Amino acid sequence: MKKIKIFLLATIVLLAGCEDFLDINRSPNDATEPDIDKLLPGIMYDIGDDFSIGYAKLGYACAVYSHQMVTRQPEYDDYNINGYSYAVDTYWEDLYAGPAEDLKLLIRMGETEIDGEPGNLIYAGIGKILKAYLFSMMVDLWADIPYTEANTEGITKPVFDDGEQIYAALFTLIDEGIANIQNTDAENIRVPGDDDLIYGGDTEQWVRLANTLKLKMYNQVRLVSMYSQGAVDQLLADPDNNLIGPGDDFMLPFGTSVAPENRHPAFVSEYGGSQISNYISPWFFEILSGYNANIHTGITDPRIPYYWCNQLAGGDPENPPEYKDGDFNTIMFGSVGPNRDHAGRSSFTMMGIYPCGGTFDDGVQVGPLGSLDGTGAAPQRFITYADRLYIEAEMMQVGRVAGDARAKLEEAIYASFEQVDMVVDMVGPNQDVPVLAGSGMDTAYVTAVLAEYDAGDAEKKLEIVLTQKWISQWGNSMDQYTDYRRTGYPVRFDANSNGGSQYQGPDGTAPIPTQETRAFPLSFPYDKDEVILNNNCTQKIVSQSPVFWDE
Amino acid sequence: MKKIGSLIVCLVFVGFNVIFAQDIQISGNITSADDGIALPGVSVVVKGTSTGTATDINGDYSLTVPPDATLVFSSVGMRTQEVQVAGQTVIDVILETEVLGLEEVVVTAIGISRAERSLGYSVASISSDETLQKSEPDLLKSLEGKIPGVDIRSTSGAPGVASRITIRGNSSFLGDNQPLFVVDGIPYSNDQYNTTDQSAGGGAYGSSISTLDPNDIASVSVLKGAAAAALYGSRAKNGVVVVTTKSKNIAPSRKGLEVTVSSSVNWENIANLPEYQNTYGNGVDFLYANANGSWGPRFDARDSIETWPLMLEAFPELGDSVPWVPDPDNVEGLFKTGMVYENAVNITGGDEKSGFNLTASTLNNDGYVPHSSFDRYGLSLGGTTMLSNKFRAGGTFSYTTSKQQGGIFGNNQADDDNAASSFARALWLGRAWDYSLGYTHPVTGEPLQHNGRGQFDNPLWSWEHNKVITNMDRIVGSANLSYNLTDWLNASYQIGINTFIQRRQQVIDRLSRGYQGLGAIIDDDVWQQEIESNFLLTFSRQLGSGIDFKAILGHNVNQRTTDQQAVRGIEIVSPGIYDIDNTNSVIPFGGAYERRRIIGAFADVTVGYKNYLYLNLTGRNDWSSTLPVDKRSYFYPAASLSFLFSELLELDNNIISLGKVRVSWGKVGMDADPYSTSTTFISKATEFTGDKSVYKYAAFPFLGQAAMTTPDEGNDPELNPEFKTEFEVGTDLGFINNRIGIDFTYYSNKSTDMIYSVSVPASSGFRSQWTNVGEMTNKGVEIGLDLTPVKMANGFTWNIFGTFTQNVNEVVDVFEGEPEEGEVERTILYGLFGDPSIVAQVGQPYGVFLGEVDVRDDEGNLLINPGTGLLIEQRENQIYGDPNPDFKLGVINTFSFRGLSIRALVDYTQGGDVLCNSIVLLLGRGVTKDTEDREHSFVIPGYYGDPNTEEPLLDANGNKIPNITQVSMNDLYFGESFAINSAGEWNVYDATVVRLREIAVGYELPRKLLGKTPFGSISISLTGRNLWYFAPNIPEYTNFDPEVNGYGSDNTQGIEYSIAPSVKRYGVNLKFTF
Repeated sequence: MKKIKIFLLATIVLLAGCEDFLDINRSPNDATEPDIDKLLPGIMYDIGDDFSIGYAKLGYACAVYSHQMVTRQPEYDDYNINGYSYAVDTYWEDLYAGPAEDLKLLIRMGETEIDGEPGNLIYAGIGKILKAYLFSMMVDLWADIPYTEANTEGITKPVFDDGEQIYAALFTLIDEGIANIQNTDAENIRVPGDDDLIYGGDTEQWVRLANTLKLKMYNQVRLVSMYSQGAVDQLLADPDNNLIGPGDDFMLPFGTSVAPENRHPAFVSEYGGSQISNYISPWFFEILSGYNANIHTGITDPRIPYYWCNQLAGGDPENPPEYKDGDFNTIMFGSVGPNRDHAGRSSFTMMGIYPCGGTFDDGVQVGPLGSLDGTGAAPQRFITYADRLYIEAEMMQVGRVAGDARAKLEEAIYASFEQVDMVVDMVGPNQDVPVLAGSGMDTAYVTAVLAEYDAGDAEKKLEIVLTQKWISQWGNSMDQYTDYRRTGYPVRFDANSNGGSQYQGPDGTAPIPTQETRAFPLSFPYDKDEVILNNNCTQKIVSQSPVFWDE
Repeated sequence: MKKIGSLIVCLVFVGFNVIFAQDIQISGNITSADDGIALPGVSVVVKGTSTGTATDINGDYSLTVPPDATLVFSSVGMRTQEVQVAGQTVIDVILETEVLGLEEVVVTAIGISRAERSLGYSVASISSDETLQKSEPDLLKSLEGKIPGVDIRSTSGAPGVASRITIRGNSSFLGDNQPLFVVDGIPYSNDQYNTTDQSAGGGAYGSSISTLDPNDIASVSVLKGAAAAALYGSRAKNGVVVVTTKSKNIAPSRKGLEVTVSSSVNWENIANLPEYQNTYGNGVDFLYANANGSWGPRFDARDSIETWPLMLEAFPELGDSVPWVPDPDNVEGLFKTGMVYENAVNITGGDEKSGFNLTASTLNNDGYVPHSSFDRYGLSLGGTTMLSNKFRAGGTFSYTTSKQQGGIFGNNQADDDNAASSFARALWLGRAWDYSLGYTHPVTGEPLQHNGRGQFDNPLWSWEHNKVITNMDRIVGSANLSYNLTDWLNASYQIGINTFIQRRQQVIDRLSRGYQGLGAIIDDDVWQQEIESNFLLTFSRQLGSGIDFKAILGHNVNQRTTDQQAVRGIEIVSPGIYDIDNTNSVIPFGGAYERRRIIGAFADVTVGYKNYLYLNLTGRNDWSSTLPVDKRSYFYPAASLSFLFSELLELDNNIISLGKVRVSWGKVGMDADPYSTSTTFISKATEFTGDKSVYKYAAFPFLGQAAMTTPDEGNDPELNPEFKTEFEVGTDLGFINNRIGIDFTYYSNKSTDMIYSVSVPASSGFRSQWTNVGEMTNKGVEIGLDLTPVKMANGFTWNIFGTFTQNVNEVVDVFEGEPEEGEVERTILYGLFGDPSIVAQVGQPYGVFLGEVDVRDDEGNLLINPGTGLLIEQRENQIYGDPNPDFKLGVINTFSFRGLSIRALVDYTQGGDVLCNSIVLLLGRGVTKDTEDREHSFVIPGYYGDPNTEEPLLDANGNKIPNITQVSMNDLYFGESFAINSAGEWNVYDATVVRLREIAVGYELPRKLLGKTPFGSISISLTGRNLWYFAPNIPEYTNFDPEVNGYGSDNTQGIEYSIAPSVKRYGVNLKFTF
């Protein structure tokens, strides 16, 4: 029996000594608290990546609906966007679970008091401005969305807020952000530097951006009651000090590294990819080529070789083409022709150096263009100096702001040309790319457009302002989709009547049959998983669900 | 050989022989009642002692025993007999074959053996003969159709690929729902480590149970219920597969040395090539184009086509045009005849007190897909001995090393252009594509495709260049010590260390479509270790008249550690050198470190009354490291009752030979995954991993800046343990001398408080949140039927063994509390890219498909888009598929006559859905005979609808307008219709299938012929696997085998994304002993 006792005793000892033994439930490889400067670059990158025109991203879908790009993916073509379209399904979730959640943490960490004094408020202020930009863009895209209860601990099924109320809250948030940045009482032990990928920690640039963002938002609501003339007048009292100027562009730069992948997402998907996904819209092509009977007729845009790059250089495409004009080769929106789905990695026209850091078209490239035919270091533009000028021109044109709309338009178009040169400079191309500004081509173009402007009535003038903005923004397509829904400009391609296209199809054959069987979406559908999981979310009929400013 | 072996054994173990002087010498001969042939290897033991011997080749034995002893004669598969010596010196015995193993001993828990009669729950046992070298190198696949209640699913025809096994359905949202594997008392991991998503260009990954050498297996017991599993602790929740190896299961009473050699060779082929049409070539709408689809002109409609540009570039001698002819065998020509070679040597030896076993085996499987293979080498050693101080000591050691090599599978569209599936086009090659021209560009070395660069890699090039190479090593060592403190109290201890190492290299070669042609190498290494310690005190006493009492007190400590680290190198520098050092830049590719510990204390009490009534009570308390401190301790009990009314009533063996009723109830508790109770932040350098983020590039460090992000998964510091309770009732019946045997079980189990990271709307800031949720039930019936319709005096026997398995699963509740009005409670288990989501939804079975459907009117008629004549996808998702089968049926017919036996296993699966990308592409590309009759137009039955509002369009009188818009067959399968570009609902097919799973013809040479040879026995068999199947609801000419599944052993079932089709094998197996 003694032996038995020893065994029992041993068992009890084993059982008793186990408390420390079990205290191992903390991962040794994961951090429990991030540094504030490690949050900012991730937020900026995610917004830029998700808004870009990389394949199936949010900007991609918007570029299709603003008719700068064509896709043959049935979940976007023919206005058939659904809650399960990849762009919606993925980036709704990415934005809320990514930058929106990280911004909440960044603002909270920035506002945390240090020794009883206000904390790192510059970070908090930048966070609020970025949050206002992010949510204003999400309202523009989805109309009513979760805001007040979104990203809130303890709430797993946030309610959906009215877009107008969100906008009102965002105007306040921007003001708070400016106040945070300018708060001289703040400890600001940590201040942003290189981790601020956009402005390198320059607080004055952030304040100018914050004001420009407000101006952009006021312009977007100019047809509804929320519009505040007083606020706009205040912003425009000293525009060159209050608003972003040359060198203040709000944009995310990209780099050239392959691993980690620092290149522009659209460059990676197109130049690095094995299939073409971003086809240049014939509508865009025809307007820039002067083929469109309604606008810029006979005016060839000198930015064309910067905007897209043909791969044919006089050769034949791999397959019977759908839409071909010389070396330009693409497919049509809403096409039901037999040649829409053919492979053409080596022969379709690709996005050029300006939208994604690809190839400048000097007429000699032969496809397939690949990842060595460009650097991919084009920035993702959000709000640029040129954009600011177009906003001012629009407001002058419609009489919201006093001033010479024509002169502002002229200024804006010149800024757009300089913007192309600026992007080329950032891309650092491995080929010779001529400078546009001051080349004479810019002046000739501006003169021709202004002549058309002068000849038009007020409506035509507004159309020209917005069409020029649309051309300038190529690659930053989310605002274009908003501008069309707000103003009806630029006039979009109508696949049911072939939109007044002058083009009769390749080699003079009959026009390519196109159709749109669905109505234009007035906002994007909700993410299918949000519908599945959040009973506050009902899927909408997108052709009947406008954003509040679109009434 | 035998003498040498005996000599070695004697030299080693000579010290332990003790012979008592007063004993008498007994000898005799043992023969089989079936055929009168002498039985070698029969165990002869003096009852109540460990003294014993075994019969030799001629069935003879001799033994020195006390004159009043009782001898017990036993042998596997034979009915045990007891004979009292009573002064006899010659005892000859005729042993009868055991039909339904009532007297069999099954290993239940932690090396605890039990007579099957005492078990109040269902246990299935499989002998090694059932699994070994039946043209099937995969242990799990060899069990298919043989055990009621067990569902085994193959993955694909790739060598070494994982199979999935579930017992009595899925019982948890979390984990892989597979049973715990315990080999000789040591848990074996069966984890499947995926390097890249299998739907998006992953490999045919194996699971780690493939490191278990089937050649060393003595027997497999499957414990199906919670009551049976309580003693194994949490992980036994999904059942336990208890494997006893030959190295552990050593019968010390065997004398001498026996060597068994088995050897087999098998041939394997692709089981299911579609039947192709060879009337139309590549193109669209009967017009030629260098396109993927074969919707182009008839082959008799033109003479030639322009030479495919890339082919012309590679082979200028082709000239500008090539004849317009089909290449009927272009798909078949991609594949080859594979081989499986399996060899094993098993050596057992010992004496009355000691024994040892050595098993060495090799397996070489060369797949039907070129450059795919699986090789495994195993060495197992075990020994046990009774020390002079009455300690019994033993130990086992096994080492297995395997290497799996195969291609990349999945869907090219599903990834960020880094996918390079070798099956992207392989089965639906354009009918005009001449694949004899060559697949490598003679100058650049790039893969050649007829329709240009980049869409897909030529499969032949891909198999040669793009590879997943996985090396798995497993080293298991265990030691055990046992001591009889008194004659009714035994103490035993076993400790085992199980180390699993997996090293994988995944290569996308330069010039492939993936990784922009730069090439990439992923190194993915896993180290996994499990330490299991068990201390048992066993009381065993007779109490009064007819009452047997047995109690076990146990203490268990378990520690599991997993350390995985992967890196990805992009741009292969020197061609042909596949080493991470030979890449231009290396970035992290994810990894995880996890360590968890459990301490358990348990008790198991069995009371038996007069051999016909048994009550078993068990209880266990676990302390787990993965739960919050105040919740880490949890207790779970079980009880079972077994009643043998045939024994009580002493029924006539010729009428009712066995009657047993059993009933049991059990509860099992389960802990969480490590680290799910606290929040941690993630470096964005590895953020690309995860199901929903396939388009995210690994962008950080970005412009030199590192970044962190909040996790997508919220944690719960208040997690409770999860529980599963199960009730089962069953009966085992035998009639007419066990010529008819029935084993019936009904069970009902319920999982509650399931620990799961439930999907939450992203607007909450998270995609999922750890919590205790829900309730899920499984109810089912398992029937085993053992019939011997014919048993003739001349030895001819016909036996039918049938299994029936039905499980009905229901998700009863997902979230705590009542749902809000209109709320459907569900969580997403797995989100495939696009469609569908695999969900758990209240009122539905686990794992149903929720996804895209087309719009219908209120009468169920399809609404047709008037602009296209095709369908309209609905805004709201709906459930459109359920991968769970209605029931499964397996029937084994065995005919035996003397040494000859013929055995065939046919199994049948009713229902269950499979979402099949391969069928979609076969139809959508117009390559099979299904779409050959195409020279007319079609009208999809339905009414016109408004694609914006999803409402029917009405005419002036308010009536619906029938569709009359004609579409081509090309549109039917390529537009918004029924195949490519369709709503997901049309990609789902009913997976009902009947299959000739296994057929074997065996012949054992009569022992008389072997009398003068050194051989003890020689048997030869011919086997075939998967030689025929029929799936009535699969499009006829696609010949698709609905059993394949793209996700290996994962919970995501019923999804197929362009994987390697299943395989059929036939071969010759030889086994001899000496």
